[in-house]
Amino acid sequence: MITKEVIRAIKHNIDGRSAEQLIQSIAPEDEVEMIQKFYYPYYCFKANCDIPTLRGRRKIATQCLVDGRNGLGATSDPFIENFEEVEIDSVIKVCSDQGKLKQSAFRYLTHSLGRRFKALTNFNVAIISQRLVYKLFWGIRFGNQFVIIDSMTGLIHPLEADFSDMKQMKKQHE
Amino acid sequence: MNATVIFYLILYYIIVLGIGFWALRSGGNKDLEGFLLGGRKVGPMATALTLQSTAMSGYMFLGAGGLGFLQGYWALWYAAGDIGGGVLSFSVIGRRMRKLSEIMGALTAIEYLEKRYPSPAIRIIGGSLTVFLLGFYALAQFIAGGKGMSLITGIPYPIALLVAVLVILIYTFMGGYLAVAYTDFFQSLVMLVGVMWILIAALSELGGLTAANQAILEIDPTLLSIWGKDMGFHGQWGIVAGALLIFSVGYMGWPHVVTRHMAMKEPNTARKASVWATLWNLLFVPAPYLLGIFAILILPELKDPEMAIFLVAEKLLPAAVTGLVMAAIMAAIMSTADSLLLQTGSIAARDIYERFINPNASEKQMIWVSRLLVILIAVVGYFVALVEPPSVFNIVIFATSVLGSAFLPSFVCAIWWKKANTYGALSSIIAGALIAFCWEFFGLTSITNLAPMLVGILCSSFTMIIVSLMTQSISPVPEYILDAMNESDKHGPIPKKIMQATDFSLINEATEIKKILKEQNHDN
Repeated sequence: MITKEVIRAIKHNIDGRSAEQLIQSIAPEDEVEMIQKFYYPYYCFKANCDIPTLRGRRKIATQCLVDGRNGLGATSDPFIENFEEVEIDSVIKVCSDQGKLKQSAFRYLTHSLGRRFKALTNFNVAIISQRLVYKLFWGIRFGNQFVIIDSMTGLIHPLEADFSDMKQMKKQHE
Repeated sequence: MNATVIFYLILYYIIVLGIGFWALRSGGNKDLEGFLLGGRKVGPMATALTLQSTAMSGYMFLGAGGLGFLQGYWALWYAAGDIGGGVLSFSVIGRRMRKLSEIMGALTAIEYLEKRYPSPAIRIIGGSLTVFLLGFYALAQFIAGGKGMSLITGIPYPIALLVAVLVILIYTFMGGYLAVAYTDFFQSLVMLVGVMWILIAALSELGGLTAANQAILEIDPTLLSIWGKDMGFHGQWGIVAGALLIFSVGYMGWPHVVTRHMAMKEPNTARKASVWATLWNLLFVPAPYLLGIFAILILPELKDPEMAIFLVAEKLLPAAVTGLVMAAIMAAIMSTADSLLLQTGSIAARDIYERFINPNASEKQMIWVSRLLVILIAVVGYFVALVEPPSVFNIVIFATSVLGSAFLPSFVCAIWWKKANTYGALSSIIAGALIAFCWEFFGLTSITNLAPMLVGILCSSFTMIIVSLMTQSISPVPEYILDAMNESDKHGPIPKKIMQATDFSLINEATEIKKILKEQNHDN
């Protein structure tokens, strides 16, 4: 039975040990443990656009990530990617239609360009390519709480799940 | 105005341009892309001061000074509300609104309202109302720009107004490219230092606060009271409450301001930024009102009270400083005007034209819709400001009273009250706007001694509660919205330190992972 697959993953800056240490530094009194890895799907859209500058319009390349699960939550943080062989169980499946994803990317790019450059101008956004990438999230337990940590930025979000579920999952995983 | 003032004014703009060039290192595309991609981090102090310099519009430099000149210390009721407005807004709706808008995938405040209260009517009514009122707000900036330009350059008001409107339009169309964080930050510092400098110079001219108050006492003791000139507002708590509310809770009902919560990232940055903003407000906000009061003594023959701050600066400061300070004030007016016009244009294009008129509109078409609307506002604004210019104070108070009355309950209940439904929000927006508008238009304040803002907020709040409760059976809040609200208000027993380190932008990933875990657990 195939248990591994090769995916295009965003290079992580925080490894499992560092993720545990990060939480330990915040909650020193609790027992901290890395429970599970999640490879979360995003569509990376590359686009060209025109930017108004003091020396006329300038063409630049840009990109944004759109959440591959719900087509929302676009972000434009830059990243490096590479191919990784990972456990199939840790890869979250994509479930969003392509049309919605592309529309979401276009909308996000034009909105953020207008907001950042404070200009009522046509940025001529043209999406030139799209591909599926995954970002690793560390699932960390501390006390009887559970958080996910973005392996690229180190940002944290609590996951108010019942920890008994996680214990059971960990046993199955092992 | 003399040539030295104009020289330093030009010098100021050269410095600002230089900062813009330095900040973006215009040599290549790399930094431009970095700026676009969010690679540049701006700390809490710069974030706060940038926001403040945009938020402090022509009202502060013309309206606030004019009010102080006309009503004395009574004007400080407005300052008292303004000082805490930002923090109140962040505390009541900031974090939850950020999370809820992220879950719902809303990019603008009006879109957020439509997603929370699902109905196209919310978007068309909310969008139209916002476009109309922000247009009014922009008119105040045109007048402020025209008056300021006229005083600085010495050219007649009609031409100065035309120049100001054209400059604001160019700034809006070409892009406030240089009005990025660092130039706004610099401008906010110059504004703060400049206003404090004028204030200190005024106090020094008058021999200190006690001597100034003594001199005002001799002219008209009622100017020192909290009830206004001739005790005109004596015991009128309904009007005092309106003055306090307009810039405190009122902020929470302004779509162009609450949009900022939606862009907020880490709660820690936002918290620290709100502390900086409060410090800045404590120093800055009372100063224009006080300067207006001191102008009673410094410029007793003043014909246009709204020019008090400009003329006090001209009289007391060295020409070089006057030039720099006035340039900063003009820059602040332009920055606010272009932000307002951008928001108005975007709402008209995205929330009205694309949503209801032409859903397949191209980006180019939408830009043209925005531009045409902005040009229309500018043309109408120019003629209104030319033929019968209302005071900056009156326009700002009108626009903000109606906006706050219309939208405050809808924005607050969107996150705090699970029974707030579409009918409740729709009727609350209409009732609040209508009541505040009629109160202003028919001059009911002087008859009832109640400010439009107070009456408007009370009406819209009661309408929201009563209509929502009455229509629960025919229009219950959809399950997916309740789930999103539950998700957005979750704190759980998470340690405070973890909550502080939480990044709101990960809420969708967390929600999806949680769903997957539940499904997996269920399957097993």
